[in-house]
Amino acid sequence: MPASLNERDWQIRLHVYRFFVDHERPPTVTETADHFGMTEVEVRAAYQRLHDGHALFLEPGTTDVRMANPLSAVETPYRVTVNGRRLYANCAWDSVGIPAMLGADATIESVYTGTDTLAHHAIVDGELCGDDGVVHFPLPFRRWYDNLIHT
Amino acid sequence: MPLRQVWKLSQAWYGDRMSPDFRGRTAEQAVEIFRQAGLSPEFWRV
Repeated sequence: MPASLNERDWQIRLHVYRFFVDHERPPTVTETADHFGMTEVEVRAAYQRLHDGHALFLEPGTTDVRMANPLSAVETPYRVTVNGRRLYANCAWDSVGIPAMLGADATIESVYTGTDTLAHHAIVDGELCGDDGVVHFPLPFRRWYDNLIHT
Repeated sequence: MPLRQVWKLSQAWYGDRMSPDFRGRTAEQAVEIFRQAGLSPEFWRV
């Protein structure tokens, strides 16, 4: 556990994930504060600690949640439908990360980078179905957090 | 990386992400997941 994160921070992180899946978007600072009976200042500080600990990723210059990996708060070329909810993944890896995280069947629509070509995949009973594809990782893992949005 | 390999990696990487007990992952744990997935130690160095 990163030393700077306390138990309440981890509870907030879990709440963000659950809310994100249920509502197809992350909770606002106000919504999280209301849920825990905390002040917005306290929640903003917790969000920042979670960001610093790579447990959430905030929109630069704000305390709005941009990513709760594998979930994206902004529309991306990776759309995942799972349990009747439409979610966006941050990247190709994360598009299968969402059903992996939820342990659920899913349909995945992806647009190949640099093209208009739409690819369809599905997870059914724990197995990947659909066209074979290849995921390109442009940067080594240790550099991903240099610019996570670009990565 | 073939998508099927990415799917297997995702199950190891993200499978516990919404567990109430999830407390992040140490560098050693990450390295072990990548090793078990058969990934390049240099590219996937933590």
